[in-house]
Amino acid sequence: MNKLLLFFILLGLLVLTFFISLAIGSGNVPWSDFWRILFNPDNTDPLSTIIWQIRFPRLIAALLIGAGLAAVGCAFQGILRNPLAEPYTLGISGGAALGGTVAIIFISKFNLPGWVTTIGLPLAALVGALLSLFLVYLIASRLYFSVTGLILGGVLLSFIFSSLVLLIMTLAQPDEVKSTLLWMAGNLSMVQPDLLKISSVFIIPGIIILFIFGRDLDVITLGDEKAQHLGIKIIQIRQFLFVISSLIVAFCVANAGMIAFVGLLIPHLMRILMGPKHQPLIWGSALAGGIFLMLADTVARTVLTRTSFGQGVELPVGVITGILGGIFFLAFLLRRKNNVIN
Amino acid sequence: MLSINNLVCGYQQKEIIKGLSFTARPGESLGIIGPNGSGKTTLFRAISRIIPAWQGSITYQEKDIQVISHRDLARRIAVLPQFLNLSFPFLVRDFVALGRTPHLNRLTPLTKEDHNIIDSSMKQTDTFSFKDRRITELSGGELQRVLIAQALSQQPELLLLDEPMAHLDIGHQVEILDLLKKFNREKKLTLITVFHDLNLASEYCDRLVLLKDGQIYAQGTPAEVLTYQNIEAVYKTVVVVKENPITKKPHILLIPKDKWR
Repeated sequence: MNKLLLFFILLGLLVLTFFISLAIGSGNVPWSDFWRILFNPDNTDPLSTIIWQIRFPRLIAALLIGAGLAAVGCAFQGILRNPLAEPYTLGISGGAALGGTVAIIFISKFNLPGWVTTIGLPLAALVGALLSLFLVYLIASRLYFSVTGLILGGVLLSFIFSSLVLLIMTLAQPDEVKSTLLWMAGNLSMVQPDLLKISSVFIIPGIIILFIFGRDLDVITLGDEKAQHLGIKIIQIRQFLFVISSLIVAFCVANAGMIAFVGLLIPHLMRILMGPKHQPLIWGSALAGGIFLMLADTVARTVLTRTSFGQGVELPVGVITGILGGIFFLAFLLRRKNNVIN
Repeated sequence: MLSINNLVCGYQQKEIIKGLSFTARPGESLGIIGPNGSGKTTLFRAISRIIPAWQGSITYQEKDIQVISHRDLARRIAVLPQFLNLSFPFLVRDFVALGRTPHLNRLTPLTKEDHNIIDSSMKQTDTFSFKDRRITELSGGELQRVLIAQALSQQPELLLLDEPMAHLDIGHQVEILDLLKKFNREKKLTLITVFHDLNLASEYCDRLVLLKDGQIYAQGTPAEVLTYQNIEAVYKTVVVVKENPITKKPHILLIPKDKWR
């Protein structure tokens, strides 16, 4: 498909999704009021508060995080030459979540002020993400970077990290546990505007950097030696891209916990639409990831509130992406049986 | 053009190349032969700067390759490795275009000149007709030609090939080697090729370097190197060397062990 045309279609879909998601939600805002509020925000109007203070930051968060995770998925799949690599399956999200949990519990234990969370949470998540990346890389290199070796290593790390999270929870106070659990499950309802602002300063340039290195990623997929033969300083560039990717993941997790499989689902769909070249793939995936997560979150926050048994309960968006992505992952594995690469 | 002076290198603690020297002259086709484990691929890795020289040096046009940047080296030397990871379904055209990488900056789009180079590389290798197919769908012979097209679009002065004929049938082997010979003759592209098949090496190289245990056992024209004494000493097997009646190059016939006398 023509890439420029696709770009405008995705951009159009993004804007459309954004406004539709802004208009619908658990609190009923009539369409006539929606248009008025959209162009004249009014802080005294409760409907305006719903749209601009609650839904708007949440949508921005969904857009940023969806875009970030999808772009990182493309980068990981290219660097590791592994179609199943993404922050969640590699255990990077799990490591970030462990770091984040430690930070949340620690901060609430000592009653530290809010700004400490704003800085401390992403920092702890970053440390966790880098630690798990280092470990999964170590495991995978022992297994010669086979598809199964990497994923198995990631899954095992995730197990260990979630057990450690449970251990910390057991020692924490009940109210801390509930909020941490909700955060970890992949939840956009607790997004803090300050943290979101700081995150955008890292996530957006991060995606742009990955895009700029798209050609390097193309060459890296051919193997370390061929990449060097084509003049790419493979070791430095790989480390650099890993750090940039981890930074993006850390800020995504700090805002909304572990959102599974966006980095797997979206790059695969986009690769079918636009082929494996990374520069178009990364911008396409970033746009599509943003659209997907905004839609998924809109479903998450409305699906139960509109039914009788939900009674106002909002689902964490991680539940939606986890179910969709898990089914996709399974389908991919079953399909692969016929054309095993490794 | 490329000269190797008392090179010693290897992996971890293990020394594979144990001090060898030779020179590749501009425009020649040089073959590297030797039994498994004699250090052919390791030598290649050292020349393409994948592994460092422990002792001695490798110089390209009088300059130590350690002081040439990776990018600069890639503009001069192209390499076809033995194994390549091809799990991503690039279009043939996009794949060949990756050969332009050392000539491009990260964000500058391909110029008209780049496109011309890519197209002519594909036409010369007879791959232009399937430029819109995916590399994962190609046959062995087609893929090998696409890889050569990629290397040509790199516009190298020197092309290193590590057993480019492995896994190809005899028809395709001749086709690929004829193609390379054509570039060698017409474009003065210098070739250094690792051969497993001694007869192919004999037919297609101006000069041969015979390796044994990381050292040079013999070097010279095919007729000088491919004597039955040399082959029997290095490969530990009995052979008869005849002359190809058409090309007058040496031809090696192997003898099964139960027929040795």
